[in-house]
Amino acid sequence: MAAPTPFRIDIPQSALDAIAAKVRAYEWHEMPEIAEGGDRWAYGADMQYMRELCDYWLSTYDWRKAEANLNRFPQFKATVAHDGQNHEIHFIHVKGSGKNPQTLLLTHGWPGSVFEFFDVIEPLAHPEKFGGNAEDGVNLVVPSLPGYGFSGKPKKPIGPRGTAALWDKLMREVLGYKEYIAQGGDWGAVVTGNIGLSHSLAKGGGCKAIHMNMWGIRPAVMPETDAEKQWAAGAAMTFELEGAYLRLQMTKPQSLSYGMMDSPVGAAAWIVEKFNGWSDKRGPDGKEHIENAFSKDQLLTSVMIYLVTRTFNTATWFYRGLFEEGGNGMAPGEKIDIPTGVANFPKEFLVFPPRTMVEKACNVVHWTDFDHGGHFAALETGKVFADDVRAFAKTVK
Amino acid sequence: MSHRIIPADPFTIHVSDGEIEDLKRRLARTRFPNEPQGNDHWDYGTSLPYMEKLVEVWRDDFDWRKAEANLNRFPQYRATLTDEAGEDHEVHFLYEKGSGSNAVPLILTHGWPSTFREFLDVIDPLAHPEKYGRTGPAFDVVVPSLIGYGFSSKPRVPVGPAVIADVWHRLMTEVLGYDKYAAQAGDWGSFVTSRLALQHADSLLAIHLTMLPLRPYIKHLGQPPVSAEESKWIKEMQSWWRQEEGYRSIQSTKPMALAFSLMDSPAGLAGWLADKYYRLGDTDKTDTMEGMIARFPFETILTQLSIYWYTGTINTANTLYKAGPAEGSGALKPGEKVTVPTAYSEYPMDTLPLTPRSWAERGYNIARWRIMEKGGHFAAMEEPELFADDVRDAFAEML
Repeated sequence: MAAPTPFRIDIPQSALDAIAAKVRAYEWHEMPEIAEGGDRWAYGADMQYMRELCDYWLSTYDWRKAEANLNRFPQFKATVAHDGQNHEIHFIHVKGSGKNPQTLLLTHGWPGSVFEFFDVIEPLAHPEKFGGNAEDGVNLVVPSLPGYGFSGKPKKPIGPRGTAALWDKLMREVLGYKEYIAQGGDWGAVVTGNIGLSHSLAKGGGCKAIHMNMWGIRPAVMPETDAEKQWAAGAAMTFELEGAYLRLQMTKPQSLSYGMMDSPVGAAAWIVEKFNGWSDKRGPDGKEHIENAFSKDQLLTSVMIYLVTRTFNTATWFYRGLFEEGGNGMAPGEKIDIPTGVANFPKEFLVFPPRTMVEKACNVVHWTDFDHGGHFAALETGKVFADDVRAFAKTVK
Repeated sequence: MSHRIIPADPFTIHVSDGEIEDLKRRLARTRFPNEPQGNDHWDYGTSLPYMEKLVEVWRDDFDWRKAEANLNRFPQYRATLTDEAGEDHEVHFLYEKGSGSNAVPLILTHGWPSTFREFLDVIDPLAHPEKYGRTGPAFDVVVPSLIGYGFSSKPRVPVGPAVIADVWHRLMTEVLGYDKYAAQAGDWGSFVTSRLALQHADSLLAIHLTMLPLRPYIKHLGQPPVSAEESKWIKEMQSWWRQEEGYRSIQSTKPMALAFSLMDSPAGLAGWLADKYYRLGDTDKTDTMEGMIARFPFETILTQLSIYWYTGTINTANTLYKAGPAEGSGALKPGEKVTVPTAYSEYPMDTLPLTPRSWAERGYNIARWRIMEKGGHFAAMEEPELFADDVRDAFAEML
């Protein structure tokens, strides 16, 4: 397997100009009237906020500054083969402080990117810079999912199970780590669950423990207690109200892609709607607003990563990939045996079931309930997220 | 005859040269996505080679002025109609008086992703059967644009089929002055038409549907138990929808997550809608490119897409999927049934299983039942002659 090659992001000015020209030319339209005090996002993305965001995009947002920030850590590309297909994988690789650091693999989800982890990389790799102990530092590997961001575009959809196999090869065969801890939310949680299930040390892989901030991979167990049944009913309702993007991306991603690949504002609305809907937007005044969770710069950098790499389309293929792999269900009797950590954030939209149910499928050694934070936990809570992952890593050292 | 108390203004479609140029410019700078391997049969959604061809034809060959003249060949009007909640709607409609003195008033309602264009080729045969060597009844044909669609106005707050049905009734009685009339529709139009029949039964002579939208209430004593045939059909429909319902799912929950792209990108609009024509039309699915073009020539599909584009209505059109369920008008209450005589003609969309007649009879007074030999979801556009003959024959039998 070829050695990884160093990589830096450098988007041609012409690509940035083309995006800006389309944002500038956007012709605003109507949206259903919302009563005073009503939820302005009830029909999807709020146009008032989208206009404000686009004004900022053109007047103030600076991609070159964001790009410099994204280039702050060492990045690489490596070709990893799976199932007869070569995948070009982009990843950040940071060596941790201390004499004998453990290694941590962080996996993002949709509509996220490696940028989700930018505020936790240093605190995890070099805790001593943040008032912690250098010996708690970890090596970090933060890849872009296949078809996402700066990774290559697959020829056909790949899902979380295939990605789990790719990641284990990346860690062991490309980077030479004999063992590692895997962490993730959203698709990252499903990939991480699959790594824990199929690529543990006992099964010939390199994974020794997993930490998840979303309930992704699904064991073949039925809800039994009242609390478990209540969770199942709530999860089904959430799927009805929030699951449309998933149904669509899992079946007809191509029908959506023509608009999203041609219209930067269109893609931004589709993505920002999720950042709004799935985050902890509670502010000190008791009111909810997206900017209690994210700054405009954070939102736009998240969106721009999809636009400058032209990966909106291939990123949605991951849902179809899951479908083609046969879903995210575990076989009856299957269990994740390695130590499992759970970070349960209150505004996660796909909430964890009660611990009793998680324990039927996972060897839970660590469980934290947080007061604040949502689906994009690393981006939303930074230090709080890093502290929990570090504590988990110490537990399994 | 009622008094005509609401005026209607003559209306002609005219898109400015600037708008035509702007569309061409946008098409010229389209950035296409890539496509996954294995999309030859549109399994992942709208085909890339088809879209590249469609965008090229739309930009270089399609003659909007010709399409516009064709749309303007029948008299059109706009009337301001107030709904039950006091909201005003500007309703665009085409109105062709039928031959003779006994023409039957007939309102034809389109659905999504269609426009009043769907009926263009059946208006003349229905209004003037004698010109086509047919002897059946002639109709005074009324073809409105749904509220939020085409040349009708965009509602301030989305409205559903029950509200639209009341507005249609006012159009037929207070604008056009008819006491009694007939109605025909498929897709969303069939919701509106079914609501018309429920809400204004005394004014409806008979209805003809190509889709049976109202869900019967099956858990009460008056209803026979679900049969094995029905239960098999329900399972097949559910399985079909699991694969196809993504568009409906997003439009019924978060239409404004989607709207920003479709309002900005004509290629995006085309990619979103073409999938439905392919899937629901009676297209030859072996040679997908040729099959699609043969069933929906570029001139017709691009007229449909251009109406959505020039009127900027894809946003308000999609939102009907949220307003409909919110209104709760798609389900029949215990004991409720459409009593108006109903003709049902099912066009074979080779992906959908045929509806059991027993299921239809739970909610409708089925007076005539036909399984058509060819045609799909856009029957009036796909098979105009067959469609016009069937509609004429159906009303001849029922009236």
